[in-house]
Amino acid sequence: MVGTSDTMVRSFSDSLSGLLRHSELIRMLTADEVRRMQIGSVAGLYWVLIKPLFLVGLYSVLFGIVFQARGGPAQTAADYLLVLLTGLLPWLLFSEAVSAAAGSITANTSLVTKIVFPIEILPVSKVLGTTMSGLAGLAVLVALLAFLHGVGWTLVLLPPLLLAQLVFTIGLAWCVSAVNVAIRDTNQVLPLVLTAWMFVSPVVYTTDMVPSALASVFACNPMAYFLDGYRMILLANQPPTALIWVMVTVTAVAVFLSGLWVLCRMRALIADLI
Amino acid sequence: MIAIQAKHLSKTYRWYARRADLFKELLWLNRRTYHKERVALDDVSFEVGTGECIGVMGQNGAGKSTLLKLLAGLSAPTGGSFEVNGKVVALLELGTGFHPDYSGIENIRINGMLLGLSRKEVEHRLPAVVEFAELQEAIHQPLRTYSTGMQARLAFAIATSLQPDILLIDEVLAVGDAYFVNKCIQYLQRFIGNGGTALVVSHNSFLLGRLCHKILWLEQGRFRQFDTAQAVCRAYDLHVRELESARQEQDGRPAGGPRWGSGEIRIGSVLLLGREGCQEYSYFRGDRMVVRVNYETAGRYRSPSVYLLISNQNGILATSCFSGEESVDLGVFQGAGQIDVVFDPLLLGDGSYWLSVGIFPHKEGPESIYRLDPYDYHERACEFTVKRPDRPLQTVFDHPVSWSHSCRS
Repeated sequence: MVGTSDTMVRSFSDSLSGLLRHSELIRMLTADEVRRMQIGSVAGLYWVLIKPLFLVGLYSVLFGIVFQARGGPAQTAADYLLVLLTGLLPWLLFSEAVSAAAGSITANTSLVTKIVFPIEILPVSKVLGTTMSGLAGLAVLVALLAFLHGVGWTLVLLPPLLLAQLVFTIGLAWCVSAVNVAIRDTNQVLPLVLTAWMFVSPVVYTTDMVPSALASVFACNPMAYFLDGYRMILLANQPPTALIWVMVTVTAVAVFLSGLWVLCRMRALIADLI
Repeated sequence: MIAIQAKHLSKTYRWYARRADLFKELLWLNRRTYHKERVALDDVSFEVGTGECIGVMGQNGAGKSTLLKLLAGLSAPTGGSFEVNGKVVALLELGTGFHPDYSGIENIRINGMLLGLSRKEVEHRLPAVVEFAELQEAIHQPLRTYSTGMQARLAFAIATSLQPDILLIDEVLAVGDAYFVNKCIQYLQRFIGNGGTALVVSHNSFLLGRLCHKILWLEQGRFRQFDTAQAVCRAYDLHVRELESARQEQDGRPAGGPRWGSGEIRIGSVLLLGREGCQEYSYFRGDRMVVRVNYETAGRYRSPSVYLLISNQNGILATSCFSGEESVDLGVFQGAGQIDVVFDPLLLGDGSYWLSVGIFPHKEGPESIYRLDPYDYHERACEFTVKRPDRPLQTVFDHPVSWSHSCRS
């Protein structure tokens, strides 16, 4: 092996193939991530259920009872609860992962500055770790739905949709965690952005409740397609439309690649700034 | 074969007074600059052959750590280039990525993989790591129950398991106890003996002199000297001493340390006289050295005791002598006078030493061992160096021995 002064600036394609090469390391760090959530904690992994249940309870009281929101004209409060659950759980899967990953590079200064370490792995394992635990909440939801009104064959489409969301999330996590090294304000701004993003996404409402005048604006939000997809699979027992699949795949791949590109471009800067 | 070749290697860090400046630069796409530059390494070139151990020496801010970071690939040089032939492992800090709540064995697994080993390789090398770290007993305990020394041993053991061709070590040998440091040195000597190449950063010229073939001396980011370990160590120590005395002169303080005592007898000058009776402050081991202590007093004191203490610059007490303890009666001290203490031959080893001088009242019986009430005590009254006449070797002292040989056949 010969190293030169250029080893530092590893190419984009190198980092991409590195993800496969480092799969063992990613798995180890992900397991470590899940384990760290339990250390010194009383409820430990139960938080992955407590947190969404609490939020669902809160939102169902707020929107279902106070605002009398319904999933559609002919729906009951119980139906709205399901609308809320199918929106909130995938959203939490996304937002929790992004906010956890934002500080993943800054929190591991010594790994970046003291050993030769593929830093692109840090956000990935953080996202995977949160997703692993978040999936538990989703599994409970699916079981609940199966018990209430049954789930169809469309359930097999859930994993590909989740995978697309994971790819999308990782891409965003790379970008956010890299920028956070240079501009630490990112960590402060991110919760605000995520909260705003949640309310412009069909999380506590469905897409057809959006006024038609605003529909084209709301259609620019990639998360809307993911959330529509989940609702079609879980509530309507229908396969998501072709438009949803196309939008979901294209945004996921685009965000994934551009996130990695941002990280690669900033790698040298990160090493000196952190 | 060349293991490391650096050509005009430079590193300039950008320094932003405020993060907002960086943000502005990003907004302007680097068309305007808002940063200051700080040169950490400036045009450094050198070559290290395979199987060589090179020390890197210099004061804080000399660019030693920056150099290692560049060679390790942790930071990109802003000028020049380098090439390394072989697998590089950098030990810039002991215990990077350790988790205090995990057991020793889990930390080995995690750390090994963080450092680039596969799961299989880690399992394969695990027993050797545990053995090197000498942690067979505690390996299943959480890391936070370990002492600093144990953690250092574990971290070093993991690093050795990476089987590098080129090892870069930054001042990490400073953290462990003497046992650990010796173990590391033995490992390094074996490593180099087996054809490995090492670059060791340290302030400790004694350690580098013992370990390295050659030493690179950096000063404020620039190349100063690259020569045999002995030559650079000597030049470096001299340089540090010059800086020290220049600083003392600038501060306007008299040479030497604190003084205290009742002042009934005052120590005047303390001189060191060599063989010719002239003042002499550097000696060869085996020379004759006379310590001449001048005193002044207004009164008349019967048989005061004189105390000399010689310590080396690491604070280690080399030797001391006390006329009271040796039941030497120096007679009456009156007006002004001098006491001569003869060291012949001088047995101290290589190094520089401080001489502290005290004059104590006469005491008899059991209380004579408590000496807290000097007439005058002058700490570090003067400084001198001792060199071995033949091969340079930093021993504490050179014990006189006698040799014999009998052939049985």
